[in-house]
Amino acid sequence: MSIDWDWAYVFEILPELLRATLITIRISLLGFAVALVAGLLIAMARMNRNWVISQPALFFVEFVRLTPLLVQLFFAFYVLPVLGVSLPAEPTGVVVIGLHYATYASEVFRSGIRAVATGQWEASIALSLPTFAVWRRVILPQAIRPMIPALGNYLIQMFKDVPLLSTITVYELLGTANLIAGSSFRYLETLTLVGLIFLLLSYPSSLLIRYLEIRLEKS
Amino acid sequence: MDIVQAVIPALLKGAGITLQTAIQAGLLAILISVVVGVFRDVGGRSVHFVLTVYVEFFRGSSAFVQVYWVFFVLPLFGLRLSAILAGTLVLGLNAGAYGSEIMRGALRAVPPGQREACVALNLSQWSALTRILIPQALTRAIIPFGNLLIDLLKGTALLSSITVTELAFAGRQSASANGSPLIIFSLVLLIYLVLAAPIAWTTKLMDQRVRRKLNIGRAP
Repeated sequence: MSIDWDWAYVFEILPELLRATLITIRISLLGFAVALVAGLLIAMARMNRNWVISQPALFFVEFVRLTPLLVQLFFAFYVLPVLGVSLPAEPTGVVVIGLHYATYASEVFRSGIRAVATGQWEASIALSLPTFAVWRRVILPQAIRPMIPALGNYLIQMFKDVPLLSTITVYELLGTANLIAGSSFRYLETLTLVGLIFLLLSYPSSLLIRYLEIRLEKS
Repeated sequence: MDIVQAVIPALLKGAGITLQTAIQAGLLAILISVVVGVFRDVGGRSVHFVLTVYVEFFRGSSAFVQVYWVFFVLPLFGLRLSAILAGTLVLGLNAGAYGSEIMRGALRAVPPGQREACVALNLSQWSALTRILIPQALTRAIIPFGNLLIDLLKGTALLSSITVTELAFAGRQSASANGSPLIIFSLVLLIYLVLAAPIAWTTKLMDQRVRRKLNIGRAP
């Protein structure tokens, strides 16, 4: 066995890996935007009194949460073209990962909205505020603050799931690393760097969220 | 229907490997969760440090990258594991890191009066933990552990990219051999659903039963 860590090689590939890291971050942020919007819609559908709306939403949430993201990616990537929808790999990945996390975000939204005291709803009715103003000015501002840590944790989790997109030919961090290692045969440095980059980005972020959580509990 | 009949044997064989991997990794993960979750708080300072590094390392980097790393890098150190063994170990260690946090949280949620009572009754730390604190913590951890096992089951799909011929791998292979990805990937998703849903139901039932028996309120 021979373990020779080659620093020259590390510095040679680092710029390319960092560029790929930016792609991973971009996908995470776009996917998170999809997750927030779709998650809020799903949460509102699930809280609808009409079961024709709430039941399909419940089914969608359960289905997505009980099946692997990887297979959902395969499904979208290989099946959509057959149905006549041809999207490039990266947008497909963003939509799939976004919808996947939307189901998790919808639970956060639901419990956040439920946690707003019923007196707030009653007061809004007593003041005969229009529905939009009730949501915009009364309920959501109170509901969103306590949701921030939970949503932040999902953002970090999603960031760590972006490498799955490499299986549908998106060259994010892991995909790029594989490409590099495949031609240089230096898996040790390449894959170790990828692991370290993930650790260096997600660990401080999770500390930040823990800090936010503690601050929110105090206030 | 012909296509379903043609691919079902291969998919079921893959599902068998998925299930086998998930069960083995799940047992490892639960064992690690309880041991690490308990010892991170009651062990000494150096134990705490080592276990914290383990937990944060596995939680901090991507599971998929960990799977790749073990598959490609460990052989360079002269450690040759089969793909399925390497994959099972990584998934078990990864889920164990998350599970130990569940266990730790559940232990902290045991009312302080229970600890005080153990001290008052002069129980040794060992019997306080194994007879009073851990059993009560576990009753609170049923649903989160169920979710962990579901995540683990879904995580076995990651092993398809390191040549383990589990369900996702079988699906991809059948789709490229037979075409009709719509039917095949729908079947694959359905099989995952059939495997995962019982875990969700069972843990929900267990949780309800335990809560009724012990007369603790509904989960928050």
